[in-house]
Amino acid sequence: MMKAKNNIPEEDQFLKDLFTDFEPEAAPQNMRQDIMNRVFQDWTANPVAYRPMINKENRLWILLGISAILALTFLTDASVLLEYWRNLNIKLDLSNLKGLGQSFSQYYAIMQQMPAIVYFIATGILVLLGFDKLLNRLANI
Amino acid sequence: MDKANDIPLLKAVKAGDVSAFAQIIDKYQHMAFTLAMGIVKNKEEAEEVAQDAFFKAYKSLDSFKGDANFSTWLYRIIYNTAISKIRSRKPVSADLESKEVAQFEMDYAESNMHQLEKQDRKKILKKALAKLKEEDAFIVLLYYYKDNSIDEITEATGLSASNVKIKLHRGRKQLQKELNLLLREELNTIL
Repeated sequence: MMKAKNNIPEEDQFLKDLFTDFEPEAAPQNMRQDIMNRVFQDWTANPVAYRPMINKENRLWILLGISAILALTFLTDASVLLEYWRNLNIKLDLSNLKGLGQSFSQYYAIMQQMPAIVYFIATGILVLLGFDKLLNRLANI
Repeated sequence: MDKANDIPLLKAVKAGDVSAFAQIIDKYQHMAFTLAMGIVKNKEEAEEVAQDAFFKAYKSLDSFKGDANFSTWLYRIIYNTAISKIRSRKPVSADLESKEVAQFEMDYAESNMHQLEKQDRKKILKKALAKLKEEDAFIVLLYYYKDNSIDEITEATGLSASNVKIKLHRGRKQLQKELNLLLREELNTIL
């Protein structure tokens, strides 16, 4: 009779030992192919599609909106806006912002010490990522 | 065990590389078929269940978040598909429990099993497993062959831990009884 190992009940140990010889039933040879046929059929029926960034129905309105903003930008004299702002005479309490300004100046000093190449690379990576994302989205509009 | 290897494949499938799913099938097809066989008890239906389960797994891959092992998740799909399969059949009058003999003959089975060749032991074990009640065979396979814990089996079947323990206990007793019967037959033919 077999001795129990590691406090496993004897009958359990016997069955565990018995199952060490066990091998799963071999699946029919065509099973893999049959499953993949179903998978491919489903895949061709429902291809993976990117969700467009811009809704097709709203595209016209978005384009019109952008055109209007561009037109306004070109037609408006910025000095008029600045004058209007001054006339409003809004007084902002900037005393609380001094600490924030100091933090920014420290941050700016650190950034200034970094070599220009770091900025070039970082900007390049961000531009490439943005460009890739934009092209992916535009390809599906 | 397989979690790390499966995740890149699953990611590839999710990203649209469906051919990566073939590797998942290669890895799990035999176990899936064996577990399905444990429940439905015939090869044609077991193949159907295994195929349906893999296809369901592919279709609902987005719902697999990777919290559990992929194998546990797949076994649950196999279990549910196989149970649905046997429920869709006409009711069968045979009730294994009513035939169950209370006498426990573990010593007899154990001593005689060692006298047999490895090949014969495998054959007898497969025959004995085929005689087990559907869910019991599934649970016994996961527990003794795949070394799954009660918690993992609970996750794979959706049954409560106490229910799993009851089925495991019943499956174990039934397996020993069937082993004894099969061993007697085998030894009679040898002698």
